[in-house]
Amino acid sequence: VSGRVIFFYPFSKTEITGGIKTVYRQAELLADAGIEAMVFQPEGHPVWFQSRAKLLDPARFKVTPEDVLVFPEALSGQIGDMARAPMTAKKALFCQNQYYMTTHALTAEPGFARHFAGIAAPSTVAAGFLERVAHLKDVAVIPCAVDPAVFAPGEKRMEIALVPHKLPREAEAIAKIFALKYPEFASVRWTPIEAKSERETAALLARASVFLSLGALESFGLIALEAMAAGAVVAGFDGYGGREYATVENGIWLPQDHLEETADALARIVKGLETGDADILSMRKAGLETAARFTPARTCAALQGFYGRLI
Amino acid sequence: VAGRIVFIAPFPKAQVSGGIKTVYRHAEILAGAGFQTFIYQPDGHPTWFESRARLIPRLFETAEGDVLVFPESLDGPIAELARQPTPARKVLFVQAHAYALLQEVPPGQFLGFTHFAAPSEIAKGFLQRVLRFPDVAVLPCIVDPVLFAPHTKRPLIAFLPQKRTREAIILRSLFQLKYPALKSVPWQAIENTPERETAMIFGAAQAVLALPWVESFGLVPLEAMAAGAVVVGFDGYGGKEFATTRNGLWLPPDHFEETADALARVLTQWDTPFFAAMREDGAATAARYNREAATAVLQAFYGSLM
Repeated sequence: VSGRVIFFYPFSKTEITGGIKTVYRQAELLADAGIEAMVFQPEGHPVWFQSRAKLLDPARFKVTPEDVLVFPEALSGQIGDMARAPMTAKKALFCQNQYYMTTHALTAEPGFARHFAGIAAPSTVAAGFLERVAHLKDVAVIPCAVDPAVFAPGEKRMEIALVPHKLPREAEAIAKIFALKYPEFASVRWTPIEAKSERETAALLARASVFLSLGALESFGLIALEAMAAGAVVAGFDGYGGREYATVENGIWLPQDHLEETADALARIVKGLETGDADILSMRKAGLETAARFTPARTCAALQGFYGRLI
Repeated sequence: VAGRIVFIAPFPKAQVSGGIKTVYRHAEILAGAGFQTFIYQPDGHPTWFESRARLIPRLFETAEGDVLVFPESLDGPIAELARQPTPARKVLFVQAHAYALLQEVPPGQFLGFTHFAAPSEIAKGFLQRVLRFPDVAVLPCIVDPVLFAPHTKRPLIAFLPQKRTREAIILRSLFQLKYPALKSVPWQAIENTPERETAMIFGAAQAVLALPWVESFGLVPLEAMAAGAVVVGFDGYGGKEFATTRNGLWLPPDHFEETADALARVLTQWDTPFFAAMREDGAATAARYNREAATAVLQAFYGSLM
């Protein structure tokens, strides 16, 4: 293979999003599969996780007709300009948030798909949306992967872990409802995960018995799956994109405005874990099995299929 | 009636909220029923709606037999007032139960409230189960059928983006991307708009997009129904008090594409019997929240306190 896959991700190295991490993991997997892959992030490698992915030296940014330049869905500003600009390399779009994509200027331009030789998304939920809403054709699905070496159960404590940054009001309201309605669980610790490295996050999830999922406007929603891999029982919102994996067997999933019911679900899980409730234990098992399906090998096969035909 | 009722509402007069308007409507009704009723809003009468309710610039010395009605936002000066000893009875009227959880002083009996009220059975249940309020009266909201009435309808989507700004932007761009043939349909944002103007816009709109957060009731969709618009969107949970499959196209709050699809359905099938029936059902739903029904409930509740 002569061409390279270059992920064009000029974001801040302190920005924490599952999407940025996913791209680095994909670059690693492609490199492992013998395809030269790298990330263009001029500010440097993200500070909050480690990766073996190669970074492209911004001073040497030059593409050849054999290369594929992969764009994120944030098609405004510099990214939009680059996506529009004629260049010798092929371009691909990897859309990790179908909702936000609709708000970018380039998306609204008639025939914007012509800029891209290939379009991919991390879930069938997002791919279907892009085909129906943005009228794109043949959107490939490159599933996210959960690294079982990083996300695994540890010694459990009765803790509820959560990542509140997308729904802070809901997080606070649910915590207060839980405290008011279930004073018997006052000793249960709440562990918000904010601005943490991937390893720190994995350690917190490993010891948490419960995970409150606060997904919103997701194309996939990796964190809930990582929590499952870490053996936490999940309750909360699937962010719509989480329908890719959320079932009644692997979590207690509720609509985003069901705050009291979510607090009730957390209490049910806490109680179930304390008493050894078979339903809750089987939920944890189903969560572990669900996460185990999203293997790096599966992602790698999808990556090879998608980029193999572009290079 | 000897005692006086004072609604504590020291909010800026420019603040637009359905809760403030509801308090003024309750005060008007109670005054009409013979109760001495006042609103304590030192900044003056709200600028965005009209009302005959009487304002007082400062609180008078309360006496036994008086009733002070507090909002759920027990922060700052309102909390100070609630803490002051008084011979009057104190009512807590919670119109936003979720917001009540998110403030410095959680509502509760320790501030001396003896009576509790909410605008819906939904909020009542929450307050009893979660905050363990002993009894909660349901005091209904009112839709003004003279103000909120249908006018000549045209393809127009009206919406209040205030509580879900980001979602409103996404929904609009998603809609226009998926339905390019409907791109010319105007989207009218209602922000800090006077009530009369809102009523005019609703009266002309074919669709009103409901974008609430967590509501105790949700007056706006009912006003839209009264104005002959088809309501599309989210019920904010509190709207489950009145939202049915017959009176609107209601969707879970993360169903964005489906919400855009529902808006397109309204605009492209406006003249069909399905939407004629939905408008009729919406109008009938809104009509249930009338002044007469509210008068009876308010008289019974406040009458028992005085």
